[in-house]
Amino acid sequence: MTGKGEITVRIRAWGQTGESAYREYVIPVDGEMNVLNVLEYVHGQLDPTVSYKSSCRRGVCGACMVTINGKRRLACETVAEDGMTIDPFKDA
Amino acid sequence: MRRYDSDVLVIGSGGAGLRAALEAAKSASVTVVSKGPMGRSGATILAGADIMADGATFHALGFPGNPEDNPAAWAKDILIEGFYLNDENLVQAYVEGAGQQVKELLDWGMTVRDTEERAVLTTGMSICAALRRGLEELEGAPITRVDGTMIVDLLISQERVVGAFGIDFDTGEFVCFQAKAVILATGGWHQAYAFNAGADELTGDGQGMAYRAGAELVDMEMVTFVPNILLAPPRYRGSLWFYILPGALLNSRGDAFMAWEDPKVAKLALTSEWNKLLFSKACMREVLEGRGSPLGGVYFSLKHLPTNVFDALEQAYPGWKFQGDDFSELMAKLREGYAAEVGPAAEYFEGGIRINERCETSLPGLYAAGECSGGLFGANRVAAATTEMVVEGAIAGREAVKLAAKDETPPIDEKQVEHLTQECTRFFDREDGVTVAELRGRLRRLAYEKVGVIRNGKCLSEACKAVNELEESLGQVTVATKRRAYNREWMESIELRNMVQCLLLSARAARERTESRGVHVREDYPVVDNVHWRQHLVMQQDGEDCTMRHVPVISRTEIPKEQIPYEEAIVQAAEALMTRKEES
Repeated sequence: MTGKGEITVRIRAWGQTGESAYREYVIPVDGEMNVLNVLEYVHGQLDPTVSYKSSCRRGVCGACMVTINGKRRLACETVAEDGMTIDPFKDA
Repeated sequence: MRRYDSDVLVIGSGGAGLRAALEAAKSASVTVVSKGPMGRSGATILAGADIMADGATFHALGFPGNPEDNPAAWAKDILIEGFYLNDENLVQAYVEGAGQQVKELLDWGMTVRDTEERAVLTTGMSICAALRRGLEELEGAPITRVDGTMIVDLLISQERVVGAFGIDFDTGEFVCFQAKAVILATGGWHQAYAFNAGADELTGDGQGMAYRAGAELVDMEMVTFVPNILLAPPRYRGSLWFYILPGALLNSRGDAFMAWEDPKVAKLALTSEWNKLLFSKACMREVLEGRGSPLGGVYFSLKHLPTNVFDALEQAYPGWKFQGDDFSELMAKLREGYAAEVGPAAEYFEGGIRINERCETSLPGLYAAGECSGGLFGANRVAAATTEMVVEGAIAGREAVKLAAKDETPPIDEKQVEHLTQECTRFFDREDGVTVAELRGRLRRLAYEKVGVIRNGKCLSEACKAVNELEESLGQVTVATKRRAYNREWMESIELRNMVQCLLLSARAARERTESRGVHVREDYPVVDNVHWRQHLVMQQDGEDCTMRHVPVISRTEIPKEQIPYEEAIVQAAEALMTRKEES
């Protein structure tokens, strides 16, 4: 989405107990966000146990490869959408 | 605990780290450890990028370039650009080493998109690819690559550097590296700034660990900002896209505020990387005087471009793709007359770990190369940082091997390893405290607002006090999950200490330097003071305290001991550079 509003995504993370599970997060949107922006927001504002890798942020280095709805994608080059399921790590 | 043992340890795998590893591996065993993806991390891969050498070198290679040019003539320009704060020994090593380095990169297949008098235009990706090819050619060379591993601190035995201690992000394991010589190639500390144009892992790790180990740091107050960085939408934040387009800048009143009073300064701003300093300063002036955009920047418009010119521009960037980003939707809006909000972002750090022309730091066994080192560009970098990384990388690699060959290295101090293990795990022992996200957010806003493009004593004093408080809070940081593998928050807690240290040193040095020079612009001291301030500020840890010394610049170039109003000094620099160009 490009305007203002909010989206809900599911992200696999370990939680405070260290057990891997999907959790839902609601993210306020103000202008187009990519999945890396979403992970950053969730990690920084909602749940620091949500983890991911990132480096160049511009689709060049390949560090932020994640699984989105079952497909391998670069988080920084995928526009965030409502209802996405994100696995930041393959073996999580 | 996993352990590695080699002659030379290189920390960082951007251009400087790869070039250092390549050089050292010709005659020694090398381990390269990288926090990001090996050979694709750091600032290099996103560089624009031009790579420079003197004109005669390019002429000899069959490119346009003045055959009468030479390294010494180029060095004189670099001193003017750096407001004579450059360490002239470092400048000499840079200009004399550049030709060989550029030739090698071309041999390894670096692509050339365009040429200038003293540069070829390529991309950071192409430079990285060329360096990787160079490494491949050393087939069978004893290089061990360890990526996804963050170095926490240097290991010291008998007052020399003997290795480093780190954490593997994927597993959360501690890793120990033993070496006869260690090369830091870790880049800048971009992430300390709310607006920055650097990769995520650029958190001043090298500067932080060198400082804690007792090495000298220099010129930490010098920070270059790049203008026209998109502030919104979030997806494009930090991209250099609008920096490279021919846009018009407007303030909130709609005034095109970029008026050049002096045609020579205009030429500098429009034809060289002086644009970073000159545009960033003008934009920030608008923001500080209340004529900024809602997000704290200014407006960037392409409305002045006739539609056919707009189309021609698209030919140069098919589909409006730049790096991995697709700007087509945004460009369609700009074509209709929409103006994007842009602002200056932290982009290059002139200061850093103090080195000599052999890339030796003040600590035995420790070398530094590329952006994490300081002193080459003085108060303002205009010449290419890409050239810096390969020249210094090669020197550091060569010198580290020399040391490794002659020295007996003391064993690692296992007590220090034990101490570091405890220090890194104390985050897990605290139940309550502050989160790294909160402290990081405070740090980043503080850096941008108070140690930014335009400074004054009051803001800098406030910054010193606030960063001191942040430093004290570091002891209360907790992490939410005790699981060590893939623990981003844990890594950030360790990075935060480095960023806090860099900003603290930068703010203190900026407060101390009561003049304006290059990228250090003090509104309360708008004078370039060559009577008192042709001096570095050299900082060093001394127990719990930080010592700051005024050290005269290493130079063979005399300049008049006078005080010149800052704006006039820029006009003088422009005149001097243009006159030199015309004469050649």
